[in-house]
Amino acid sequence: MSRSSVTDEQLFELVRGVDPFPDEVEHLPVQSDVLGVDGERLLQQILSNRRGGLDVRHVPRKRRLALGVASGAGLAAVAATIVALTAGGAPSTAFAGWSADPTAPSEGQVRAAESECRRDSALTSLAPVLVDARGPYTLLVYAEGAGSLCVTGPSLHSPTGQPPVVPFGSFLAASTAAAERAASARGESAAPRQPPPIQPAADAITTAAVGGVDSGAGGVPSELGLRVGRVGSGVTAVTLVLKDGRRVQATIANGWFAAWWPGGQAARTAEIVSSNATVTQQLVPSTGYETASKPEPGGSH
Amino acid sequence: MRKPQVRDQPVSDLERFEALFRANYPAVVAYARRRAPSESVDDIVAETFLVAWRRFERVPPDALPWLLAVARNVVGTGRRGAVRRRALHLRLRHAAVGGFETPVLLGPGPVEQSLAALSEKDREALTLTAWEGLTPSQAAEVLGESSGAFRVRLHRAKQRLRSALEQPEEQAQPLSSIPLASKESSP
Repeated sequence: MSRSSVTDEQLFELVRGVDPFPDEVEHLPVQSDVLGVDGERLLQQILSNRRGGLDVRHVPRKRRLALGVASGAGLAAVAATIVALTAGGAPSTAFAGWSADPTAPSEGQVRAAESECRRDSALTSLAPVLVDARGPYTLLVYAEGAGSLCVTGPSLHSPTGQPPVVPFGSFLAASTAAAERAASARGESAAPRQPPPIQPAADAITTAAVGGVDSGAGGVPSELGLRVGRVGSGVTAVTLVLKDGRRVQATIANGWFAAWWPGGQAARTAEIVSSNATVTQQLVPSTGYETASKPEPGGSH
Repeated sequence: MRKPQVRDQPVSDLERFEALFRANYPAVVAYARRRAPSESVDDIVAETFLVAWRRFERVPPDALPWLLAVARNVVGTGRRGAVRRRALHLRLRHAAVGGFETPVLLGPGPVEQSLAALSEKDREALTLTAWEGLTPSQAAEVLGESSGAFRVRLHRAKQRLRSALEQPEEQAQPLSSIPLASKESSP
């Protein structure tokens, strides 16, 4: 087109023509008592506070949550991907449809989760070693490289468009460093103990990552807890027992286990079913690598 | 021009604020939806009206430009925060990023791409008048400029958009190659 062919009016119409919401205002009542549910709720929330005494922290908003994972034995390495939980209410109601036992994924659920997680360039060509489905929520574990986990679900999304992926660090390096620190603390610097094995004993588990979703400021996850790690060759089932007594059955696949649960309760013990027996293993709040405690017999099966 | 007005003679701050809210909520929602990811819209709108509530005595009678100026700042703050989070994420993942500042709601057509290549203020000058239906003086208030400065900006923005649209397609610069830092200072 020639320069003189586009008038200001035509240019204006061209810009109007690419308005992503061209009828936005016209379709919404301007002088109306109908603001929609969100508008009425927001208005009432603001009006319910007295002017001058309003504390922005107390105004209900979408909660911005941080998915964090501490990796390795006692290391404070926390990688965070911001995840927003759009559902309101208490954590227990925010994960509607969550199940303490793994569920069979619905048709397309895993494919959709993989598609979401592969938006992270580090995972583009990788396949998960474990898929944990609990109702509409899917947790994927990727073992290659530094190791990563990704959690998706209807009330979880990234406000920045980032895929909800968090790496949990070098499995071996973390465990070795922690073992060396522990040995040094015991005055055994000259001969540090053998680092915990990557592959646990046949009837035991080791934890690669423990963490969850917190309020965005770090600290103890209060919205969602999770634990991911390896299982011994003979392990056929793992049930995590939380401090509040809840029992969460882990998913096991390809030598890995994974479980997560709403709320900030940590897992205290793991009931491990193997080909030989059922044992109870004590878990530490941070990672399984510091669980020097031996599995305690919990009964045979 | 679409210009919501505050309704009938409210008598208290609560009533005045409710009237202001009802009159302008749709326009603020529309502004946020056009410029921010959908998951951020509720937060942007809530933050905007919270600021209005806290600073109610400063809200002028023609409240919409003032509200949109606040919303614009909230959108910008969120975008900068997102950039910081993305930067942190990139350090962890060693991934590449391109075109992050590209408005998420603009499509791939020539007009959208030409708009996207403008500086943020030039783009706002055009969209505030064409999309929000503001007068030049109202749009100037949103951008924090004098009416005279805004008219110059709007005139130049039109020229740049016209020039971009008339650029032969084979010479069009890919958006991803436009240095973000030079966008605002480009002539």
